[in-house]
Amino acid sequence: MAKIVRVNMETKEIAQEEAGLYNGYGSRGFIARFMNNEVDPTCEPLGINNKLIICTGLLGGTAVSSSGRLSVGGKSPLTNGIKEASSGGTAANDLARHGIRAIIFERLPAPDDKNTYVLVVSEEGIKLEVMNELLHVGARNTIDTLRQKFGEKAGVICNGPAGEYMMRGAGVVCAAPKGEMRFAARGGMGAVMGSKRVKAVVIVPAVTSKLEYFDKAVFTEAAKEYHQMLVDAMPTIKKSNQLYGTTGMFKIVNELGLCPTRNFTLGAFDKHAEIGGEKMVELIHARGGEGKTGQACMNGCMIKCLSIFPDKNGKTICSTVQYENLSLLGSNLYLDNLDSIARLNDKVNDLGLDTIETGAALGVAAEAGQAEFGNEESFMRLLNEIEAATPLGRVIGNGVKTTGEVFGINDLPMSKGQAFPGYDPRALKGNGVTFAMTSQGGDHTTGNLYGARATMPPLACEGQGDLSRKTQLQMAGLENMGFCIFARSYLFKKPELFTKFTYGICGVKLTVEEFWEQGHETARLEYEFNVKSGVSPAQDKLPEYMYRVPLPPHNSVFDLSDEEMQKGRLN
Amino acid sequence: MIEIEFNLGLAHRMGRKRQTLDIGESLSLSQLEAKLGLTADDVGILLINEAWAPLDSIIKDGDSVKIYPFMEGG
Repeated sequence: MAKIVRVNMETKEIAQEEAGLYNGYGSRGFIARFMNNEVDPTCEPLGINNKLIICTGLLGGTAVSSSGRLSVGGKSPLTNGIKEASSGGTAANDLARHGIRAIIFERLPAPDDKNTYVLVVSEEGIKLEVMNELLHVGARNTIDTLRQKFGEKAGVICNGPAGEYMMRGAGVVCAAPKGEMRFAARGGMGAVMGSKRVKAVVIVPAVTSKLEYFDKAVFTEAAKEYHQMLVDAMPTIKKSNQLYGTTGMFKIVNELGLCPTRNFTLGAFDKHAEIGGEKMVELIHARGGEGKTGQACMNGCMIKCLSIFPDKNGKTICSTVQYENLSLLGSNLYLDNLDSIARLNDKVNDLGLDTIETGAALGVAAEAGQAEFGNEESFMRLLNEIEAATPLGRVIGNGVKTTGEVFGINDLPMSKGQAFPGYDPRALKGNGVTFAMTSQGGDHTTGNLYGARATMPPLACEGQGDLSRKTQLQMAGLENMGFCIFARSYLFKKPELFTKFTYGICGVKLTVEEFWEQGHETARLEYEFNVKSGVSPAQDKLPEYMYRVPLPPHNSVFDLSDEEMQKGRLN
Repeated sequence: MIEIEFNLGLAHRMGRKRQTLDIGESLSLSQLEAKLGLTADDVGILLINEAWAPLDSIIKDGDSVKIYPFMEGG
């Protein structure tokens, strides 16, 4: 049975235990149950009683493609509710091969303990090392330093300076095979990590995997069946995911008029062709050098959506530019140049910030006259303020809510204090249901209706609540396993694969219905935690301006009835 | 005659970004797919005359049609 590792940051004691009642749960499923059992919902997110959970999905460490995502959870300093943020990268597979499902950081270092800590997992055991030389070091250099010290193949989970300064817009970084940065971005989990003075977790790969299977034959049969689906789809995967990653969506989102543009005041960017996925791929291939498409961020992934965006000389600017970067750091800031977006993206990454929260905060800052839309330099100046931890930098680094409050901007693109991702709910109304009703705050990963765009008119008022509910239930199930959303369309065609995987890895026998119900229970537990923490249903709403201010080009407002919205609450 | 735009992976697959097609008076999306050598799985989203259109839409002579493959993520 997989292990849970507890690290007490006050006493520095490290203890290990069997997964026990958490057997059968990974990622979001694990976090929902653990938080309800062990964390006082009224605790302060950056205080001594919150816990930082780093955990794998149920399939972490296996050879199943696209199943090695890492989850980071705790009580969010942005929403004051429960949070699970997930990331690609190698660390989840590395942890699982050491037989570890989760690492829980508990308590806080004593007030006079100003050290910077790195937890090292290796064949020799698990120990906390003091590495004060990493204090406030950018994520890129942190990853490089740790890989030089512990080996090129070491898995790295780390915090950037923004998280160490406990800025609420900070995410947790997870390194991909060549040290590229991936993010458990949302909800301010980097700030929670910073509160515990944990700079990084390093996993020196296990010599032999300690991952246990309950029934390897059943597991292998399911893996073969799933992999065959990917092989059959490979011609399409090569021409879509491996070229564009998620950036291909940018053009469609613009065509549908729901792309955050100029601080969420427009739904389409007139220069979208200059910064869309097709342009990005054209530049990567024309510039060559270190530029690449079709790289894997997790070992064994067949979908391979990671890309490296180079400058004119072929030198890496940023890995990887994805859809949310194009929208929140691009059109939302009215930037029509991919080099500008990539440079801002890389800076945001190096600071350890969530690109969505920070991009939205920068848009609000521009609205307040602190930067100029379309001017890269003015936004870079604000990111440099964050790096220097000046009062202005701290305001923006704390996210869209703080930025709006300080600068007197009331119309803020957020729900429960967390910024909206790259879909304006006025023109994709089902996502408005998800953003308002999910316990995770303004977060599309819990149920993005963009995936249902072929069957549901984005502007319709009917049916959005039920569709959001169905999608949220599906995602809560999927996210127990550690699967990437790119695997969703294949797996949902054969949901019995989920039950075979679950049985094969940990012996928990579920029907397909029970599997989905398990996801529902996850969402219900998240809701319960939030209610106890004070995030009541009264906060399940969108900002008022979205009901009032029309969004061009459709000039639509958010106009779903309360009855329709209630359908999206999973309690 | 209709104008068709293929996007992203579909443009690579078709070997062209755009084409015109004589469809007579009108046809359904599945009829159009058959003419183009595509299947229902190939079409993730359909825009007719720059507006979102359901997959059971009837395409009429003179329409401009944009076809996008299914894309996930974000």
